[in-house]
Amino acid sequence: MRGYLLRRLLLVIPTILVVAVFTFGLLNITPGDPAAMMAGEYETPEDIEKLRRSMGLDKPLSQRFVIWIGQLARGDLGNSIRSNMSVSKVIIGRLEPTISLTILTEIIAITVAIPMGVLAAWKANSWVDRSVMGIAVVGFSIPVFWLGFMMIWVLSLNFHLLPAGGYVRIFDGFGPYFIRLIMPAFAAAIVMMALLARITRASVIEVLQEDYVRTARAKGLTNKVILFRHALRNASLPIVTVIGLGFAGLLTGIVVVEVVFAIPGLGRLLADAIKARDYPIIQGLILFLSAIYILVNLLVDIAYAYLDPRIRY
Amino acid sequence: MTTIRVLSLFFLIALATAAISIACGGSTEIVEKEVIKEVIKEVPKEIIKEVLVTKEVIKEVPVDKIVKEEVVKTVEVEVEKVVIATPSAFEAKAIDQASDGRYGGTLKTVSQASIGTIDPISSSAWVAWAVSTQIYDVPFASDGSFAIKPQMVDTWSISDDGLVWTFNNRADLEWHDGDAVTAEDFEATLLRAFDSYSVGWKELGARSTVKVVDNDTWSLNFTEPFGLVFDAMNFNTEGFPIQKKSIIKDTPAERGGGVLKEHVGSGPYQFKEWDVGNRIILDRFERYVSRSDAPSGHAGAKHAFLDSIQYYEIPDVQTRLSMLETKQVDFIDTAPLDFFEIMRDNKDINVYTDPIGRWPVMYLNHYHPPFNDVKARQALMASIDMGAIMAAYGAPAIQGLCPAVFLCGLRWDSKVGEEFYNQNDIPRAQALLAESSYDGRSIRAMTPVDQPTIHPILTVSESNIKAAGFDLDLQYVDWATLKSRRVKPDDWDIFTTWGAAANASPLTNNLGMGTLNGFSSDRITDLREEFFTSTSEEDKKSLVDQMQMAYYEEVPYIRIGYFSGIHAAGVWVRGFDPRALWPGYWSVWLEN
Repeated sequence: MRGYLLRRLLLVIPTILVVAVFTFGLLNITPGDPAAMMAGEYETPEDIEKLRRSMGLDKPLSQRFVIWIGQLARGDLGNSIRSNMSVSKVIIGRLEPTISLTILTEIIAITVAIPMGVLAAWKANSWVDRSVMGIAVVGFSIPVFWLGFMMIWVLSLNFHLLPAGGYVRIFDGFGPYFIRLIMPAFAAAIVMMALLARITRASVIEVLQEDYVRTARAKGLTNKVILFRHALRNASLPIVTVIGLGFAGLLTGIVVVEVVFAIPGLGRLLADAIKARDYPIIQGLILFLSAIYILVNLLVDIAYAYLDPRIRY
Repeated sequence: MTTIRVLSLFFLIALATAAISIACGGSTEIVEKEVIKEVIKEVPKEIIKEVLVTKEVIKEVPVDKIVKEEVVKTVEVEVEKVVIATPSAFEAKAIDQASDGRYGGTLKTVSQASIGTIDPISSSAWVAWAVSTQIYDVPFASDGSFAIKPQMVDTWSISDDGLVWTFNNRADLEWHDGDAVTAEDFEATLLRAFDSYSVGWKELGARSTVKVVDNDTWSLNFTEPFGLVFDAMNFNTEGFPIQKKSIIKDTPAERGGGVLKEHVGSGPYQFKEWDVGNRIILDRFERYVSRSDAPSGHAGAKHAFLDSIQYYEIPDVQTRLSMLETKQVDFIDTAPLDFFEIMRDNKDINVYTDPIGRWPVMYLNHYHPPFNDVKARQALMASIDMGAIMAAYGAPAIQGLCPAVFLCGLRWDSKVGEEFYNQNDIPRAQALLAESSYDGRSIRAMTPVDQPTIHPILTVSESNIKAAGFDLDLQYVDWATLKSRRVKPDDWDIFTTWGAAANASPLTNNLGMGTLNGFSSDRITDLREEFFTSTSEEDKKSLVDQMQMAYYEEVPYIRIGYFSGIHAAGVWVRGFDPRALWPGYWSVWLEN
């Protein structure tokens, strides 16, 4: 296992390098120019060229890439073109909202979806199963932004139960911090709940057909023990995969929720940076998120080994 | 009570002294001389307390000089008495604040867009100015009727030949970090601004040199008279935000790299914290000395009633309105136009329109055909139904038509050429196009779908433009793509945007010359030069009329009408002056 971990960690470096090359290349060949983004229509072409020179955009692509890789090797992601702030500092500042929202989303999704999936599997092909799966389809189909606005309208504007949006950092008060995450977390969790419920159902149904489950029934074990001690654990591999990749996906995919509820997270940062063609932020953030994906995949693989003793690396 | 204590103390000391004397023996005659020194400490009348302080002072004398050993014991008794003293200016202010119910509270305002920088000299972005207008003070500013008034400047003089303008600053100017504002800061700021994006600032920089006369005095020195000094210093009505020389010195001179990292100003609010992507916090600058004239627009007194102002970034417009309705925020800078009627009908919300408005405009590419031909440009202008475009912006209360190229109702309003405005005359457009060299090529017109205040221009005009005979290729792009493509002359024929207060003066509105569209005109250049050097208001007005006629005849771009920017505030937000172009919160207070 140790050797496996070491090999996986060493693979991070070439993987990040490949991502860096692709990111840099794609950004620079797509239409868009940070200097043009900053310029107003009263500026002359000479003004804009001056801007490009001051940003280093007049240098050849290869030279800019080498400069950037050199910075990366020193752990420097550069400075934002718009604000002149360190990219690392900007990303770190946005981590807390996104991670908070992601964790709460996952907790809600797991808490609701897994029991739903297990129930549907246990009562497969019954009205219970069809109802649960129907709810899952609705969950897939609801646009997240619509759900978000509906929740604001009902819970904030009409019943004054929850704030309409915004974010308060955890050290500024846990109550205000938590209460503002409830609606966005529910809105983001809907799709994941639906997916997780379906995966859980399919996986548990498969396991319930195994011989050892028949043996467990024959031994007189209760349904609860059969489901949660025998079946669920063996069905957990695909569930864990979805949870792990869902976590990584939520870090950027949650942008719609962040926009609707005004949460200053990584998803919004990426969207704003793309609109402004803020190359250092886009590049830095993509590299950061790639590293997160790699780490999450590694943790999922480790979880496999824990859940299934037959898996050894 | 105090007297009793003093006497008691005297007795004790005397007793102690006697005891010591007896113990020590000796034949020296000891004479005790007691001095009671009353120390008066001035305190405000609210503070009354009694503090007794004793201090024993023994004076030693050489032995051979001793005839009598005089032991001087000074007993200091601190007596606190109410003394009516004149408070310092800041103490007076603190007393005023404590008794004036308007002071206090935090204003939560929603910024118009994502905030990239709050350095207004490196960026013309609305949000940069909206925040920095609270932080930086200005030499001159526009009041509510757009008259230019002194702010940081106290007095000024102009030499007889009009070539030297000398400005004396107020002596009470202070940076937020405690340093005094000096003339060198003004010099550094102006030089930085002269190299920036503003047409007006560049014009001033090209015609003058800045000199520091003494600590509080600076001058602009011209080689020929320039009739628009105040206008040039008053870009966008807000003026030159004066920045600190030592901070400018550490910033690269070129734009792009030249964004200040520190935000130390001398205005009524000081920068406290920036949680990037979430909010910016400004706190009241307690040592700010306001002018005493009445507040009006950006000029006059700035009271800073609020303890703090927080600017929030909330990207979704519906969420902004929801947060205002639930009182999570107090103010929305630039609310969406299509919410105007909803907000106006809400009894808990006040809606304000900004004083100048925004001016939708169609830019034409003069670098290549067809719009390098004036007839083609005139044909396009003739085909446009401006009323239909402006109707797409919403309620009549917040939009309208205006033929004045330097804006209606302001200083350089003119009616000349208005017969060419809003023609909506397809036969005339067809005739003009037939006279032009237009060869039927496709016209690439970019419209940004993510900008609701720009998108209607071309989408509403499309049918008219085609009816005039143009083969219009209407391209739906996002704003970022439009901005990227418009700097490449071969990539577009028409793009749309809107302008604001810079349109109001011939100084800052150069009718599109030398910009992205490649337009140039000797006629307009000569008229502007004459305007700059003229010192007669009447001559200037005549020149404005001529420039407007030149605009309608040469059609550098096509300006449509105007729509008002609207701000929304909870009814508990009091004292807001909508005549300031950027929302100024210096006279705002929160009720309850």
